[in-house]
Amino acid sequence: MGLFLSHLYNVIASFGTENSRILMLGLDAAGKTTILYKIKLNENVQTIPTIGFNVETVSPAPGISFTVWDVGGQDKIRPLWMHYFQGTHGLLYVIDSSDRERIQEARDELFGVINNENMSKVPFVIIANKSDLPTALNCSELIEELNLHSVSKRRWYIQSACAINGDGICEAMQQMAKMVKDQRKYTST
Amino acid sequence: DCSEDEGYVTQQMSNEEPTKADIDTIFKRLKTLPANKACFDCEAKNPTWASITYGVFLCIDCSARHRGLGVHLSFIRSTNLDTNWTWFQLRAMQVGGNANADLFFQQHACQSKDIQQKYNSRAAQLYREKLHQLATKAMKLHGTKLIIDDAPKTDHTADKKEGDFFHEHSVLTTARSNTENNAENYLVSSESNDQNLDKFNQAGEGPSIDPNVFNTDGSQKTLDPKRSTIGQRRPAPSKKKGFGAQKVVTDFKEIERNVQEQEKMKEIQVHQEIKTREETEKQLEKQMANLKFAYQDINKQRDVEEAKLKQSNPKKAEQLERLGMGFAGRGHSAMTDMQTIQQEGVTTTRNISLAPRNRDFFNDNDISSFSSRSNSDLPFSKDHDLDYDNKK
Repeated sequence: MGLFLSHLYNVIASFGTENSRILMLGLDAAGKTTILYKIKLNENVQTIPTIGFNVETVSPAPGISFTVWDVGGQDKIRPLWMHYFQGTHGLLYVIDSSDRERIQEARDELFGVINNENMSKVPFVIIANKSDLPTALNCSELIEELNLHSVSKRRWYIQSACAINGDGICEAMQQMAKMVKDQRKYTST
Repeated sequence: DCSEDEGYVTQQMSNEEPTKADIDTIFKRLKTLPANKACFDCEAKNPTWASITYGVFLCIDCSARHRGLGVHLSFIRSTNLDTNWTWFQLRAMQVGGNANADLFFQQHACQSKDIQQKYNSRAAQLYREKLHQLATKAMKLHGTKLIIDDAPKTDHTADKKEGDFFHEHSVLTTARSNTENNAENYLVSSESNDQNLDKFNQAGEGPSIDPNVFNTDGSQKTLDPKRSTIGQRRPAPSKKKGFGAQKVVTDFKEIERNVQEQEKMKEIQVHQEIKTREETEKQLEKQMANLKFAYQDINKQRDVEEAKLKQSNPKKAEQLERLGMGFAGRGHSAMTDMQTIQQEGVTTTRNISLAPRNRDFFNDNDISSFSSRSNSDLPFSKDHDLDYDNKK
C-alpha cells in the first residue's frame, strides 16, 4: 500500500514537472560528460574530451526534468562558459576530488563563475567526483580547500559522488531539483 | 608521493608560467620528432593530447581512456586546448617523448594493449617515477629556458629512418642512387641541391627550422642565443623532421621557378609572335605594293603595246579594240564606248554635243534614246512638218 501511494505521489508530482535549465561546469577530465550520460542512460559511456558542449534532457528522479548543458572544461574553452550563464536555473560544478594539484584551479574557476552577475542568484551543487579513488579528498577537506565557507547568502551543496558506480549522483540531482524549486519560489514571491 | 611533492616544489619555484608562445614553440619542436607524430597507444597520426605523467603524446580517443584511469595514473592535457601548462609539465614532455616511453616499456616487457593493465603495471610505475625525476632534474638544470637538449638516442635511430625517407626523395630529384649511410647521404644530397641551399640562404623565408638543416655539418648555428645553448643533437632531429617541411618548400620554390621560367618563355614567345606578325605585315605590305606596281607595269606595258600596234597597223588595232579582244578590254568602259560609238555613228554636230553634256544617268538614257531617234526621225519629221506646214 505504501509503495503504491509513493508511486501515485510520484505520478502526481510528475505533472508539476518544470523543465529547468542546468549548467554543468568544471575542469577538464572532472567527469562532467560521464555524469551526464550516467544520468541520461544509466550507463558508463567511454567519453572523449568535450570540445564544445553536450546537452541532454534528463529526468534523474521522478518529477524532475532537467535540460543539462555540459560544456567542455579545457583551459582554452573555459571563456565560452559565460555564454551559457543567462537563463540558467542551477549550476552543477563537477570536481575531480582525486586531482589534488588542481583543486586551487578548480576553486578559482568556480568563484569566477558564481561571481558572474548572470549567476549571482543561481544555486549550485558541487559534485566531488571520483570519490572512489584512494587519493580522493573527502567533502570536508574539499570545503576547506575550496573555501566554500566564504560563500554566504546563497544556496550551495556539496555531494561526494562516483560517476562510474553512480554513487551520489542521484542525491546531487535531487538536491539540485530542490534548490532550483526553492529558488523559483523565492524569486516569484 | 615524496617525488610528487618534490616536483610540486620545483613547479612552485619557477613562479613565472610559460607563455602561450613558449608552449606552442615547445610543442612544435617536440612534434617534429617522428615518434611523437603517432599516438603512443594506438599510433593514430598527429596526436594533440598528452599524458604528462608519462610524457607521451596521445590521440583524443586514447586520451579519453587515460582520463578514465584517474590523475594518479595519467594526467592528460591538450597540446592546443590547454594554455596553462607549467614549466614542469613542459619539461616532462621534453625529457619524455613517445620514443623514450616506448623503449622503457619494451625494456620492462610491458607489451599489454589493455590500458588498465598497461598503466597499472610495475613498468608504468617505474617510468612515472623516472620521468618525474628527470623532469625535476631538467627543471633545476634549465629553469625556464625554452629549449633544452633532450634528444634521446632512440630518436636518432628514428631520425635516420626519417632521413632516409627524405633522402630517397632528394635522391629522386637529383637522380642519384640511394645508399645506406643517412648522414653522409643527407650532406651529399643537400650539397647536391645547391640550388635549394642557395634559395634558403638567399630567400630566408623558409620555416624557422630551416637553419637547423645545416647544423649537421656544424657550418651554421641557430641565431637564437637560447637555442644555441642546445647541443647539436636536438636541432638535428628537428632538422630532419624539418627537412620534410623543407622538402616541400624546395618543391614549391622549384615549382615557382619553373613557373617563372615558363612565364619568361611565354613572354619570349609572345615577343617572337609579335615580331613575326610585324614581319609578315611588312611583307604583306611589300607584296601589296609590288602588286600595285605590277598592275601599273601591266597597264604601262599594254599602253606601250597598243601604241606600237597602232603605229604599225592602225586598222587592226581599231578592230581588235572594237571587238573587245585587244588590250585588256579597257576600251570597253561605258564612257569610252559611248564616245567612240557617238563619234563614229553621228554625222550631225548637235547630237554629239548633247550626249556628253548630260552626265546624269537617266537623262543620259532619255536623251540618248531621244537623240538616236531624233537622229533617224528628225529629217523625216522635219520633212513631214514642212510638208504639213506647206499644206497649211
